[in-house]
Amino acid sequence: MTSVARWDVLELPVPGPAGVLFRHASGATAYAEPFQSGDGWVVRYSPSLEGVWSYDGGSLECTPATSRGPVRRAGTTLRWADGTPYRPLTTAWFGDPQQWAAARPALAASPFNRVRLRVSDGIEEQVRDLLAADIVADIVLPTDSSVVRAAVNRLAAYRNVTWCLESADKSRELAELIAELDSSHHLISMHEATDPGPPWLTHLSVRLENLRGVSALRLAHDKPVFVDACGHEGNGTTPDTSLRPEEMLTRIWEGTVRGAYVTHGEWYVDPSSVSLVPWSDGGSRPRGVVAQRLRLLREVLDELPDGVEPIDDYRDAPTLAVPGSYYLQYLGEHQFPDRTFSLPEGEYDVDVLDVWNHSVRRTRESVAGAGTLTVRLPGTQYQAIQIRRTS
Amino acid sequence: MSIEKWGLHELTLSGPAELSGGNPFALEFQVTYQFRNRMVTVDGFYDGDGTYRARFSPDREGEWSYITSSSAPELDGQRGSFVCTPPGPGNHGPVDVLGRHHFSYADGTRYDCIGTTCYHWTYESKELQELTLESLRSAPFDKVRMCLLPTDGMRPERTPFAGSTPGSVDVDRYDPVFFQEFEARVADLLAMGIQADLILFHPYDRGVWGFDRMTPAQDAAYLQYVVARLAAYRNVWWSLSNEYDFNHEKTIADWDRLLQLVQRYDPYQRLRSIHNGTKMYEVFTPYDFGKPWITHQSVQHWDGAEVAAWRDCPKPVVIDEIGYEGNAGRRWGNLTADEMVHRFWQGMSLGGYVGHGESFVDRETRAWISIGGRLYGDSPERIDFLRAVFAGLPRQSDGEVDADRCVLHYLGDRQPSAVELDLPDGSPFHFDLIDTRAMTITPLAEYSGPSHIPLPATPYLALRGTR
Repeated sequence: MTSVARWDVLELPVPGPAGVLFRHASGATAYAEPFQSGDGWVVRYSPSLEGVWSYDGGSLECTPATSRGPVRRAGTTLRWADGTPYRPLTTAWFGDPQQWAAARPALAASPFNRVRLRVSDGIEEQVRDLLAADIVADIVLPTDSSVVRAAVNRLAAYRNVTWCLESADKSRELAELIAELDSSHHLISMHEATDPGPPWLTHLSVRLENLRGVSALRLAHDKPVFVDACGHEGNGTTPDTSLRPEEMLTRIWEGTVRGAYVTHGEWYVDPSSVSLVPWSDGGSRPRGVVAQRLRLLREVLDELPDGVEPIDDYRDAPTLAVPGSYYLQYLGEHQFPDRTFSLPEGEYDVDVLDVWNHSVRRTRESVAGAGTLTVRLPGTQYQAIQIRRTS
Repeated sequence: MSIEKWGLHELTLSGPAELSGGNPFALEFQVTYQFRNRMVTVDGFYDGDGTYRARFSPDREGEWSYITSSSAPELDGQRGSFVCTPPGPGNHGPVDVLGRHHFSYADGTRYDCIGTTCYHWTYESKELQELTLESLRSAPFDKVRMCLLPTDGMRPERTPFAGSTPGSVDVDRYDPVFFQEFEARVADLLAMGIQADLILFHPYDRGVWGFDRMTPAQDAAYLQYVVARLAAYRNVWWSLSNEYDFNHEKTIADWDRLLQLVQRYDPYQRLRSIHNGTKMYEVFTPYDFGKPWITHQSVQHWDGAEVAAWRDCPKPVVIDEIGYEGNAGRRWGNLTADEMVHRFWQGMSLGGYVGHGESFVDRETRAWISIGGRLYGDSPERIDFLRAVFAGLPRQSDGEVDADRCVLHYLGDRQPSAVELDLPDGSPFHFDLIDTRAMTITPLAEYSGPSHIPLPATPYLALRGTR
């Protein structure tokens, strides 16, 4: 019997274009539509449950997973299908297939674990390369339903995919088409949707320059919020493509510590050379400074405790916390001399993160009784404070 | 088992009738329906006597399967399936917004949106409810605004909540029998092709029942229960509140939250709005209909001419209250039929929709807007005429009148002897004179370019040119 690991990709040759229904002993079903490959038809399927799946013409065995599976929505946050938290850090790369070979190694070596891409002839290769690098591909789909159908039939079986519809008046028809065809139940958003509230959109994909707005969006919709467009670090000719690096970096930190996921973009042009392609337009590597400086955020995200949420206790600075045991506060453009926290009695590791200069100062502090802890700061911009209880 | 498209699948299971220290109405119970890979999760509900139900309205033909999930073992992990068949005769699916300012049924059929109001008709005697249905059967209306909750002065046998004596109602529990009877009426309207615009809150409680001042958690639980029971009826619309701004116990932030909750609970995204009050001719504070969870503008206002301004917001304008034909002692309820129908023509010819109401207080049955019963006024017949005229206008795919093929000029309460129209050049428009009061359509001549069209100098006329 054919066997495939849970959440891996199986390709089955089938006689024609008719959809295939897979049935699991539990009663679960999945549906996949074939696509043309060479002279024949092929169906791609990624089983979500271990055990035997049968279909008209055969059966297959799904063996234990060797991966964490696709990304799932969990309230306003995200988890891999195996339950572990997923903390995306995204960059936008809207290049052409011939630009991919150069960009691929740069992405694999970057702090990003999600990239926004456009559907093209090269999308399948891009998705596979990104799967090997453990990077999620957020695929921007046009409003043409035949393109959507073809993309979903070819790509849905890859666990590292999420779907993003281009902005249109209505999201329902296309989102439900994707849901119908996608046997892996990947996330679906519509960029700049007029109404991101309906249940067929799993999360928000917004354009937002003032990242303080994400807190209200999270509360209003009770879904994960992706700021997939907040501008580009660069020297382009528009306000959107000429952000100072400090501004790009602080937008990403501000939104992240408010519980959203903020996409990096970069748009450096060389007026004397046409060969320099801006990164987000299909360039070969990020040339700015923000991508490098996001390594610190990547490290912080990788070590965030499970269950961390934005809290409202510190109205003058966004704060993520597991109350009593973990705090991450971001101070943005403000130059506080110090910050005071209310903490239960205990020992704490206190990190002052200079986000712009990529430096960390760690001290061990004690809090006696139900007390307070004052953290002294350098009095410069772009500081974050991380407090972790050690006992 | 088979269910027609946009019909209603009901799953019935037995579960705990009492929960030690718990509330069966708050028991977690959901059903996930699946077509191909698409999953739609609906909330189930407790229907009393140990019976739990879930309702679902399928929107794709073919095989659907389902699986239940619950914290109660007997309601968990139950699987089943049914086949969704083509829609039966007269089933055009739910109404949705078409383009920016219009409506259509899911199968593409035009929806006229000519509504009326009978706030508490389902609280009346069985005989009177049957009379209301009989009246609606021959009336031109395709939508009825109706309340779930009683007013302060009413003393019904049943309310949506457990108990029918003010002061001793348990708002954490519901009365399944109230809902069963209410749903039967919603189903009656559905069978007649009439939308049920359900008003979920209103300000006429003033603390007597306390339904206007429940806690946020109680509001949320009530809305979740109502949506679980009623959303699967394809003719349901949600009107979060009547005259929301007259309830001083709630703020705009509260209404935002409650509207968002209904959006979250409703798997189908039925049409959703909230209706303002007015202090007639002065105070008008509509909700901000631009907010994303609002599908259409449910307005109370006395002037149909305002439609033009409200169309700046890219959502359909429905003036659900524009005054009522009748002879009541309140100025909202004593318009002549001429004035009522004039307001309809004004609002509709500007690309909006207008709702009817009637309030005669000295007839065999009390005011139609409160209890239904019998219609006495002269406006319904003329509204039927208007409905036919508007249904026959050539339209674009977004529902707007196709200006290249049709011009419509409503001349209002003026009595011009002629009008000057600057028509497009090219092939001429064939003009008809529409007398909205006499309900006649008289052919005139053909015109194009700058045109002088003589008229009989009487009010309530409209000119229609088509080519």
